[in-house]
Amino acid sequence: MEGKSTDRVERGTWGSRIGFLMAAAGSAIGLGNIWRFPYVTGQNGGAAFVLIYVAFVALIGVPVMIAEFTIGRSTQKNPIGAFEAWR
Amino acid sequence: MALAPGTWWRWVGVLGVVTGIGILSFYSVVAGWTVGYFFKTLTGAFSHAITGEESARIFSEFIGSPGISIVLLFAFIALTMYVVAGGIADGIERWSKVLMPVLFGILIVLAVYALTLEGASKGLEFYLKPDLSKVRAGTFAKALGQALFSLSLGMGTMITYGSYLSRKENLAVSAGYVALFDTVIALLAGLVIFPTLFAMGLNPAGGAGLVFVVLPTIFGKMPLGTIFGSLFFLLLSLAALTSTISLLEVPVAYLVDEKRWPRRRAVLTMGTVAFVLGIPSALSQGAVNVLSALPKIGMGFLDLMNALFGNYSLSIGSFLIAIFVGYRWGVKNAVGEIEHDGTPFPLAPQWAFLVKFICPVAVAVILGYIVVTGQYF
Repeated sequence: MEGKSTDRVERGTWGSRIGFLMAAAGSAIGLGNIWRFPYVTGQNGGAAFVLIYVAFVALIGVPVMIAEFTIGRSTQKNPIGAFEAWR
Repeated sequence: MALAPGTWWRWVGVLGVVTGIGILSFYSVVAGWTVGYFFKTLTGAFSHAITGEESARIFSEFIGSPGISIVLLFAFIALTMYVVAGGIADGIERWSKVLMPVLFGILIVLAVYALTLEGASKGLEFYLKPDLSKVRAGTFAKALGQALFSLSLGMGTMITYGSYLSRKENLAVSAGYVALFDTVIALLAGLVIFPTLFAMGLNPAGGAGLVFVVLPTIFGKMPLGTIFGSLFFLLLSLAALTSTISLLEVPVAYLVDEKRWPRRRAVLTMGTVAFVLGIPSALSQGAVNVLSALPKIGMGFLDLMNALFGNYSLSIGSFLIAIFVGYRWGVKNAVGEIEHDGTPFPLAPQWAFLVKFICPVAVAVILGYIVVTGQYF
């Protein structure tokens, strides 16, 4: 793990907090929200589905997302590198 | 440093990277359709009222054309590559900071317009008044699958984006914001679609063709329909772009970190891989018979990619990430990382409980459900 400072320059970092949030929200927001969500909701009874969906986002989605962010930040690596080399 | 060297956990990372490329390949095909429909609508293809059959025919001819679908796939991946080649702060971040507010603005305009249509309130009632009699086992599977897919989990993107964060950032609050934005946008999309459908007297259970087949039938009937329709497909294209960017960044980060490749070369290579892998998906909508209905599998190539990467591998990935953090790395160590630099994490015990017990069990149940029933989300 030599040259840690040059590694960081090569990899890059987010320039601002809002920039990171926009990028991560942009990753999440996609065809899934605008194309898939309405038709899956329509096929599964409307509002009841929406309630279950929101509960899953809060109870499963957010915890797993925190887990992924934490793995990424603690290693400062891509997914394979994050699990692989140990100092 | 890394978390679990020389163990099979490495394969969780490999799974994430492979899932990222796999989803990118077929996702870009659909993203290409949204761009095509943007231009179609803008140039007046739906400026007059058409029947459902006509609309279905237009759509199947469009996605069944090998030339158009491959050119649009290429164009979409090329644009994605252009953004990612710019790097984290100057490429991905800069574009996201422009695209996301534009996307939000378009969505608000469309929702306000849809809600003012005559008869919109019936759509609101369907959308906002729960009918618990319609809840079945499959409803839960679909809802959880939609949540994982929509939040880009289990595909390596959030690990990769997290890796560019500084130690000062509050990870729990950030995840909360991202999930909140994501949910608000999905709910707003529903506020556009359902009032519009009900106002025009259409069935909300239209399925995957809802956006491409059902909506174009009403653009010609509604006031300002061509503008509404063009904005809607522009919205879809922009939303898809910020997602394909993150999907491409996953394998690119791998090559830059581990193989010391220059970013541009990594982008060119992985973009090409995704394009080539996307071609059979693009040709699976009627252009090539074998790909449209794969022998012995009984589904088209794009549907197969969605089942493999959009269902199995992202669920397995999410499950293993919860297991890894919950048991292998340990929630104590993870909480230590989150609370780095004195960042408060008051919900740490609740989070630990969810990650150790609820997340793996829920995802495993859903995985079992899709294996047993073959009903993909």
